[in-house]
Amino acid sequence: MRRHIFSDVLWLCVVAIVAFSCQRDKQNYVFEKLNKVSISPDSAFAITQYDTLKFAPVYTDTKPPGVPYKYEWVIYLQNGSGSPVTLSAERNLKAAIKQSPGVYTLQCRVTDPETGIVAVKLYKVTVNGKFYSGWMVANTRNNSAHLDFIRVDDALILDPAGLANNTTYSGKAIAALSTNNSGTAIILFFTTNGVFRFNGNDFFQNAGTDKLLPGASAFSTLPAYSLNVLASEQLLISEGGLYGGISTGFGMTEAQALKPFSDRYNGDYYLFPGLAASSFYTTYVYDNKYKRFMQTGYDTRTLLPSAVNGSFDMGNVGKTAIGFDRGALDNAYPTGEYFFIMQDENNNRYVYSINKDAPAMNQLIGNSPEIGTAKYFATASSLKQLYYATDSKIYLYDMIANSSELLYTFPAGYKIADIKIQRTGTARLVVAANKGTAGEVFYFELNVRGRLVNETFSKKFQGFGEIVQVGFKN
Amino acid sequence: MKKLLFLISIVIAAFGIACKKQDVPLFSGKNGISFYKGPYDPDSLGYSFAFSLVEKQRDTIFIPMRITGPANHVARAIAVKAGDGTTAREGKDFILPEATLPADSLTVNYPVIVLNSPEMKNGTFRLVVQVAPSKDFELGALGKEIGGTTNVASMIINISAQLIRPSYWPAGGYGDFGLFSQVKFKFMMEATGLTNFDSDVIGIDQYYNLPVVLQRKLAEYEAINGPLVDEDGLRVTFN
Repeated sequence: MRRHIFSDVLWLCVVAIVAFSCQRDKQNYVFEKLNKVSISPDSAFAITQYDTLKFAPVYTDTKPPGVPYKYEWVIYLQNGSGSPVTLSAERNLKAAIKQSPGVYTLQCRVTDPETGIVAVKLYKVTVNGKFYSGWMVANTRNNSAHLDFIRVDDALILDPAGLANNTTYSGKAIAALSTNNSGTAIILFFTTNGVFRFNGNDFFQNAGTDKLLPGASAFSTLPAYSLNVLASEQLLISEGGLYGGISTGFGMTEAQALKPFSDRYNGDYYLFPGLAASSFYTTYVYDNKYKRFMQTGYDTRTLLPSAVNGSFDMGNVGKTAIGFDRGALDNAYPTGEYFFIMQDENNNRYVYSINKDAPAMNQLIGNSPEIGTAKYFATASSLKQLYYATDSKIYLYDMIANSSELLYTFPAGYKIADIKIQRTGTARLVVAANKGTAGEVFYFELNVRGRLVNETFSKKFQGFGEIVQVGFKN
Repeated sequence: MKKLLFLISIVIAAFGIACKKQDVPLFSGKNGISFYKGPYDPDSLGYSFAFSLVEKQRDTIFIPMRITGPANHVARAIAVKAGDGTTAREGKDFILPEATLPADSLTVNYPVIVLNSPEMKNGTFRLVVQVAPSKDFELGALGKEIGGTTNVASMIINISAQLIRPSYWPAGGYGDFGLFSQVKFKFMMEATGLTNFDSDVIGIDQYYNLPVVLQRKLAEYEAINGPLVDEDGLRVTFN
């Protein structure tokens, strides 16, 4: 009897389950709209490292919950490694950005505690080092060498290297030069008493002459410093000699890029301070001793005479280089044209250029006032134009028309010390001039024709000692 | 009722079998030992007494070994012998000393003593070091393990007192150091005081920078002595 009861109950359960599972769904649900939160507006931020980022977004909701929202602000590096960092759990962001210079994503996340639904908004944050970009001004004041910095936002920072390293650089300033490959920013500061290397992001010194150019001792002439096109090596011309060092291209580390430079490349030569990284595989330089171009291949520490013959014989130019600058770059083939200003024994001045691997311009500079006494030269970034300066006047030489025009004359008492073209952001001619032992830096904005906007300077920076050179730091 | 009992017993039996603990296969066997090498290590080693700034009469090469089986709280004897293909002479060119695996160890570096015999100045001697049975070990398991290293029964050591091309120096040339030659290598050692120019040892910066030093030293040498010509009749250069 009990067996039958057990069996019957079992069968009853099976029938009930089958019947229930086959029941038709009547779709008679009640839908209730949930709260929807949105965050606005879109925005992007550029901020200097350690500054405070403040932002109050607008939160819009359709059905406010009875309890407060949960907020979260997180920042993480774009295209990089590292963990996200929570900046704040407040409705409005107010946080010091301590992240290293770079491009970051800032995520604002709002959670409805009742439903668990999350709204997210992403913002781009560019964190710049305090010294992210601007003009380095090499000058001498109070009987010591100084490196001052004009940031691109026009903030003038005096003596950042001296302050960062709590030291004074004795001797006279010669030049401040820099490179930056993928964030490895390097500054070389040359004085008559040695050369010093600084981290380009904070100006902390990481090497002196002994760990940078072992064996070098005397410094007096303008150096040149550049990466090759492949960014696989640093190239340096100092006192007429060529030196090579590893750069961070080809997977090399920053630590490897901070190793000492090589000894002076062997050979009988004395180079003018100009590095024409015009070609992927070859960098060209000019030997003033034997009046010829020379070249070095990538990642080889040898310097050989150039042998290309075209618009001129690169191995036998026969003139003395007195100026150098970069011209237009070919974006599709990231190399370009580099100009050398040459002088012959009769004091005639010429423009020579190398475009990629070939000789290009070879032109006697004509119809150009005071070209014979010009000391400083800078070439435009796109047009075939050359700015040249005497002690007090700035001229523009049109290479196509082969003639020049006066752009600006400094008042009496000023003596020009350097001219450079600013190649990032605005089109600008930067001129350093000294009034006695007090240096000033002038910004001249350029119009599309390469002339001065309003025929005068737009900004002037003071407070320097006697300036010898200006150089842009990326 | 009988059917129900039968069904219940089947179900219980099935559960019993399904829940039976599975035996874990364990290694059992005699303790073994073998040489081993990394995934990028060469098949043979080269040793030359010429790669020394100070003349040596003997030196020691350490060859890594590891055991198959558990560690033990006592030191155990290792035996190594010269295998087939050996041209080096025991006692004159090499010594294979008795050695032990330290207590609680799984690996050990076996010391092969190489001797600078007079004949080595004119030739290269091959020593095939091979695992021999000892009272504690027989030949261990061979082959590649999941980490990529490989157990082998023997290793080849080429011993010489000549300057032979090191394994880090490709036959086609080594950067600005160029093609290998005995004359060039000897000059490099004398000029720099170094005997190993492997970029892993000197650093990638010196791999690039040392040739500049060598070019200068060579120019100084040539200014006094004229071109330096190697054993193949080629002028020594560093570019």
